[in-house]
Amino acid sequence: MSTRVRRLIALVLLAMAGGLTWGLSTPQGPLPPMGPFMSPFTGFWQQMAAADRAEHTLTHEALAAPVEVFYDARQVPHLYASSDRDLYFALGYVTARDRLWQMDFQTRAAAGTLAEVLGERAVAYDRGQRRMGMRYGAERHLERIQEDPKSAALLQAYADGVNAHIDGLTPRTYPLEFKVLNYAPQPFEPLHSTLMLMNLAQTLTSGTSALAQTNARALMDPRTYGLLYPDPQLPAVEPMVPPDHVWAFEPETRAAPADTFVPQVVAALDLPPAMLDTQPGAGSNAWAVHGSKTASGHPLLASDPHLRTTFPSIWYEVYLNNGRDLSVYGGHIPSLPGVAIGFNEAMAWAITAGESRALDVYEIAFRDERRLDYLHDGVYKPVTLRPETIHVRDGPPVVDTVRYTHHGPIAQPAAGTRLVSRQYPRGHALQWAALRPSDFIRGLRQVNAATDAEAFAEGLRDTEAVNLNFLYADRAGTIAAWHTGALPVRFPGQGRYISDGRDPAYDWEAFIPFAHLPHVRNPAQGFLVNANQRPADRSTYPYALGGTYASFARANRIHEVLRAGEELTVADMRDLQMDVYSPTTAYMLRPALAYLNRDGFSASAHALADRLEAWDFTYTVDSEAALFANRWRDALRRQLWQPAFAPLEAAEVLTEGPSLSVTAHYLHEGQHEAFSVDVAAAVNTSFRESAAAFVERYGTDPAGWRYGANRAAGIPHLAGLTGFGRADLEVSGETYTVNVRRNAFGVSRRMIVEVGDSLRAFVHYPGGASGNPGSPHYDQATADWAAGVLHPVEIFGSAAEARAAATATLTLSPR
Amino acid sequence: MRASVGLFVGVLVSALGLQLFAPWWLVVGVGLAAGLVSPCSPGRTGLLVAGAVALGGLGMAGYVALTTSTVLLPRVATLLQLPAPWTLYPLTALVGALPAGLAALGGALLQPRSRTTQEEAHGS
Repeated sequence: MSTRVRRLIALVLLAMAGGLTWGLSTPQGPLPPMGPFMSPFTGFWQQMAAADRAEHTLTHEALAAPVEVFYDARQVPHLYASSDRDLYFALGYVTARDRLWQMDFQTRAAAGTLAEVLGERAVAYDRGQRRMGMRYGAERHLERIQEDPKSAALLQAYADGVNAHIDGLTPRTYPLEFKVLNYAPQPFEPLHSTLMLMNLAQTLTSGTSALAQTNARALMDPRTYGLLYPDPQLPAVEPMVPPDHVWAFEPETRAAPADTFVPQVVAALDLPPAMLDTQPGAGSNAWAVHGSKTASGHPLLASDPHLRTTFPSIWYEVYLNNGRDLSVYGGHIPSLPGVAIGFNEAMAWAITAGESRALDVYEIAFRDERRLDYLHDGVYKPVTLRPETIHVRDGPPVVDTVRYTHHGPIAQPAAGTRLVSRQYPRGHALQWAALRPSDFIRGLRQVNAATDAEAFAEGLRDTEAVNLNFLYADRAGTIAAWHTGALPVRFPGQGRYISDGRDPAYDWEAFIPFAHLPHVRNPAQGFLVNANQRPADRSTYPYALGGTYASFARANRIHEVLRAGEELTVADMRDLQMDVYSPTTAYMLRPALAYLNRDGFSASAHALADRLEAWDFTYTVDSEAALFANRWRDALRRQLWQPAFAPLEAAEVLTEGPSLSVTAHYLHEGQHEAFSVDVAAAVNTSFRESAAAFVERYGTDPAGWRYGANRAAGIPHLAGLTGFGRADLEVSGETYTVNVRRNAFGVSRRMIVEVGDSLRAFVHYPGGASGNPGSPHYDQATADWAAGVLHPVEIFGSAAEARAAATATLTLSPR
Repeated sequence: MRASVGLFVGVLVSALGLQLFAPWWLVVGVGLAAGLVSPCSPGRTGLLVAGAVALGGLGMAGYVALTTSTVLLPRVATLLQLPAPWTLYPLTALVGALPAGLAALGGALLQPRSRTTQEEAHGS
């Protein structure tokens, strides 16, 4: 071989080596760059963690005194500091140590900056977030917090703690998801905490059915409309505040507008309406039982918030002690400093979504196509333009100028971009309570340290960004409940439909005073329940709250069990949290079964009918009836309403189908006037069709019909990374059971606290302390969560006790 | 034989040492440098370098797996759509070894011909 040929071959080989190196350093589609990712020195191997944490120390100039952190057997950090600032610094540090990528990703998701790391595919999502005013709202909350030096200092201390962890990282030690998605953590700023607050507000309060209800009212005759969307709800729901409660205040009032505004029907959506397939979102449960109904004589408090369950979990358990007035244990939401649900030495509390109307949609009359000013109160007013620059990885930035009216932002442009939500029509403005500034740092700090109901309520005044219910029980024996949030004083019906943006009568002017919001202490019934149902009886509570409250199913079931219960124990609370009886399915299928005509049934259809008739309506994993029951139940609902809704669906006009509860309620009355089909025929046709499809899908062997084995009950990874979630879980429950499970939505954490002289608490949640998929503590509690096995909380009397029981320690010291 | 062992050990130690502090792709530079100075034949040089880099990678991966939990391996295998977790080991070895071996082969072919044929003539 000549020298020239050798050199040519050498150059080709070197080019191949270079090309291969470049290729291995570059992401290929959704895969990370394989070179650095596979390297055992810098790649995923470095995130394989031992079961035991290593001892660790850190010195930092932001600390004034040492903070000791003791990890218990469940890897829950117990933080002992001597000031709030040091405590919040340490909280930021330990949370970032376990959950940094989660904090980064969730705050990016809130801010609309995912395209910076995910590229073009995230631009539409980011645009939607910007147009909702997520960043705008976060900035307003931050401004309010910074008006209080103490709140500002605590928020900054938390951010400093997160950044102290980030500063100690190298690409080799970045959390795994940064390596998979190939980006670096950004510095954590106080704004990220308020973005996380907006994230929570968006999850819990950004829903609206104004558009669907507007269209339904416009397209149906009033009688049909009234039947399909009854107000108050059917069947009747037991409110959180007992109906006999006397409201001892003079309410503020709001006059309804003189004219009757009729908003435009919004047609031709570019998202399919699927109005008869929609189901309500999962909610949350919380209840407090007075000592007069418990075996110990002490109050019991139970909490199970329902959210989208993911790995890492939304919850990060901590114990916080500032050496003076704060000694609190509970679920911390990474990026939101403080404990959201938990207990201290004097009391325990739980939270559910309030579901009152916290967002209104306004039809806006712009002067012209430029949309720079709009009509309000007879004069044209200028919009405020807020340019939003979306930086895109490997692409040019996208600038979207959002128009703000005095109501709020125009959530979707008039035309030209993909519709990001079917809830908000194009060119309409949103008014959203979450965009009103509040100091949740002060509120949460006050709640965490409260020792009685008065102090607790004082803290709730500052949590108004998110409409919530707080359930409370303390050592003194008090049980209480509050409905909180910035809720406008409305005229009856205001906000149910799209509002007139021109008419000041629809403006949000006054808000319901805190003292007038639904609240109650120590009711005669001896317990309080919230399962996202109406907080107060509609006929006696003097304010119009609006809202899309949960149906009777969970609330009435919990009321029923607690009302009947005496000498209640922690085990009883646990059984109720795990209850999988579906009142909705029972209410729907009992009358339906009575119509069933078995003539001509196949053997499998007979077998399915037999199982339904013998069934107790509990959604256990071993049930051979539950899976089919849901198929038939939903098919029957569709069959009953299809003739009325098919033209609307075909026209792609968004409405929403009558709820399953209303459907079941009318089904009890037989051939109710609301149905335009023959009920008996609908029942039998839907059964036969459902049975045939079911047998085709699951076979004729009843062993294949098991509920647990055949339903989507996995827990996905927060960013949907394949393999980082769990798909093999058999979980009981369904949408309408106390133990809620619907696809990835469900119980995100359970907590039961007996608030006595010697406080006892039990918890579990799907996941574990660590957010690292390479740690044994990533999903360690998931099996127990699915099976309903609660873990006793380790409560230590002192730092010395915590040290003695610690599996690992972390010492943070001043530099 | 001695030259081959020396080359293998030299690349193994260099690759291990460098990757503790430097990016993964420096093993390609190590391979090229080894090829330029290797007294072995180009083919043997390429194989020795690839083998040394692979062994270094496997050794480090094995050490990590032995001293920590391996719960991550099935997760990453699923993410990468691999048939089984154990396939991560050969893949890990290959990712460094392949470009380093190619670079070593190319480097060796750039040497003056007399140096590489000398080794071939003496045998090993």
